[in-house]
Amino acid sequence: MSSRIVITGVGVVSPYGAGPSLLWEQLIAGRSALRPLLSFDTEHIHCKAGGQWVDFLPGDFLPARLARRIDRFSMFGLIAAQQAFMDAGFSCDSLLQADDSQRQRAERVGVTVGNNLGGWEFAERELANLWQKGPREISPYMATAWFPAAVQGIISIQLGLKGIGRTFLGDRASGAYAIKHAAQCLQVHHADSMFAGGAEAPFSPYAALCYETSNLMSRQASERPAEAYRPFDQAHDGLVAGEGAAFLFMEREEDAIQRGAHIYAELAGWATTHDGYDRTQSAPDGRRFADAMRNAMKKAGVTAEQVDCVFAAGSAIPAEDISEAQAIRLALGEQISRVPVCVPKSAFGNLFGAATPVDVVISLLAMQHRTLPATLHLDQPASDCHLEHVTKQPRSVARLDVIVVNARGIGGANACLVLRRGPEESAGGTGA
Amino acid sequence: MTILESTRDDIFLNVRQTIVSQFELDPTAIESATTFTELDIDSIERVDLTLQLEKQFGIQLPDQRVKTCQTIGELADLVRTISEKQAAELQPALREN
Repeated sequence: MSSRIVITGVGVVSPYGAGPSLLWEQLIAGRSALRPLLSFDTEHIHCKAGGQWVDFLPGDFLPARLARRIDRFSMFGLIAAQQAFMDAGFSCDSLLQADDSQRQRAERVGVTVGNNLGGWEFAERELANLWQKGPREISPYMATAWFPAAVQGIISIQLGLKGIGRTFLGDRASGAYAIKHAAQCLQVHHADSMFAGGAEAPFSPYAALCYETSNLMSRQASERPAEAYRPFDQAHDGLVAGEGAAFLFMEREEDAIQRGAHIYAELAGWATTHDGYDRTQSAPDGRRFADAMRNAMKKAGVTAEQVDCVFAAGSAIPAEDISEAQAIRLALGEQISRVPVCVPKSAFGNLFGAATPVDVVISLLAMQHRTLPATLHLDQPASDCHLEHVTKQPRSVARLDVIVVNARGIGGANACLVLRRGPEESAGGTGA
Repeated sequence: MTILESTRDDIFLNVRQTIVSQFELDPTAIESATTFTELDIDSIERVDLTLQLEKQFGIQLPDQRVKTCQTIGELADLVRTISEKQAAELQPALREN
């Protein structure tokens, strides 16, 4: 029988700032982190709002020597991974010591990352240098700073991980792919522990334009920036981006119990499917998305009766919302009127490569508090989007043991994760 | 003071200060014989340092010669050699003007 895979550490950087507690507090207070984008000229794009951590100072978290070598998305990823490692009960240098046993341990620790864009803030600055001043003015760090796998590299180097390292690019499902792969690596004993998550920093002129050309971004951001992201609402008109990162520390349940770690939850099921329908549009019938949900629930050994909540992908792209609502109906059947559905990311934006990892962190916090955060800006469900939505206010619930987390990338790249409350907290982390 | 009047020590101190500020290092840990490896300055950081020194001294350091420098003192000597060579080449032109 396969080992259960559990989550024993979490870290997050959100548009509100660093740390899971801050994210949870702001969500429960119902505060929107969406605001007009001011860090670059947005004349060329329609979606002029987003979830941006405007007062982020790299020096508050990282040595200047390191910060000048890496892009913003790598900074977010590294900060979130460090948090997850410490939350799991380890010190950040615990794998960096040079003795043989630590080296062997480090070879069994891996990292998987979801990302979509790479580090365009860094790249755009250096491309401007190339055209304006010439090739000798390009930062020598450019080669290692801009590409999507940079996060995986910097986490491995800074934390001393020497096991599996992989980066997944699947649009808004990238992070779900990363978490799924980490769980599979643990189940087949290719690693003893895994960092899994995602990072994204989409706010630079070219990066923002990449999203715009998909024609999937909201156009109402100029009129109401703080309320532009409206999943399942009748005024939904597309995505609003956010920046940040989230990482989970995952291991096999028996290892976690042996070292006395705090277990947030079990990652009990996972599945992916593809619509195979269109380059940008998801299939309207939601059938393959429903299959991803069913397959993940089946793997978890969970029936629709046992599902306590669905964290929807909630893109707010009208056709995707309708397709996802249909998928949820198909997957939950008669339970549809009972199961609450929430999209907390409507408060701070869609973090694309980090969207699902952030949703997982929020799900784990929701389990702890037995409270569901609301889907902000969902005033009146659109036709065909009627579900048991959690709107306006957070909802306290008596039972929150099984959460289904949906993810969906462009063109119907579907993923689903199932989280199940683990054994009650044990003694707490014991350190490295 | 022109580059021709700078002493070897002046240039070493200048290079050392650039390294200290660029890599957040303790100046007392850097002597002429200190190696880049001892300071944990990797190959990409050495390129970064080279570009900074080029701007600072208004020179172009040949990549192949930079690569052979193992110590801070050797790099400072290279900066001095290239600076003097460049200044000497410029002097006749200046006199003609």
